[in-house]
Amino acid sequence: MAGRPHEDGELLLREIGAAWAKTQQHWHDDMASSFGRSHWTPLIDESRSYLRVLGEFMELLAAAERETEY
Amino acid sequence: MADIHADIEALKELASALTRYRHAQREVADRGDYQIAATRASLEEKASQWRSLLARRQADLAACQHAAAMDTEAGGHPGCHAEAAAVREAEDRIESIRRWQQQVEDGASAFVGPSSRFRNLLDVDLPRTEHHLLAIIDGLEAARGVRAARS
Repeated sequence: MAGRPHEDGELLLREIGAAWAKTQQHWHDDMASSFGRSHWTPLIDESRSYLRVLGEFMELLAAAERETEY
Repeated sequence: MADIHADIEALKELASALTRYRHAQREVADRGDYQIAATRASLEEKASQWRSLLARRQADLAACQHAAAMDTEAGGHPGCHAEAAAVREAEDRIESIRRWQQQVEDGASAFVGPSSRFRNLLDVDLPRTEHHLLAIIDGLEAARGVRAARS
């Protein structure tokens, strides 16, 4: 990973989402539904929330650097 | 045989993917924290440089004003407008940097909560999820009489 942190994090989020989609092709019983509700959804929601805030903060930091280059 | 146990294989792959995700996102969070520290240090360095420059420019202005006072008695002085402008510029830069520093600190305060929750997710919740998945895999393998082949 060499990009901006939040962008790399978003990429990881997409990758893990693809891994979950692949798993669901083979695992779709009640246990899978329960896992999705109890573990997967909170994981993705919390990750997405953090990466959104991180991205906004990284933009602010970049602006601070840019606007103080005299 | 492989098709019958495709769910088990898929779950093993998911467990491995989650482990990789946990490590990689921790690195992302670390890099985010590093960027915050780097920007804070950079802004402080810029503020320090401009404060030094301001001190020099104030000294230049004072010297100019002193010379002007002496020269006025002798017949005239071109003035200290350039020196005064240089002082004002340095003061403006310092004030601008100070405002950006405050914005960064406000942003950092707002970032603490989400960052802490995410790290807790990575350090506590996600390992539990991985263990839960492994328990599911063990249960499925035991129910089908499949020998665990997990490393």
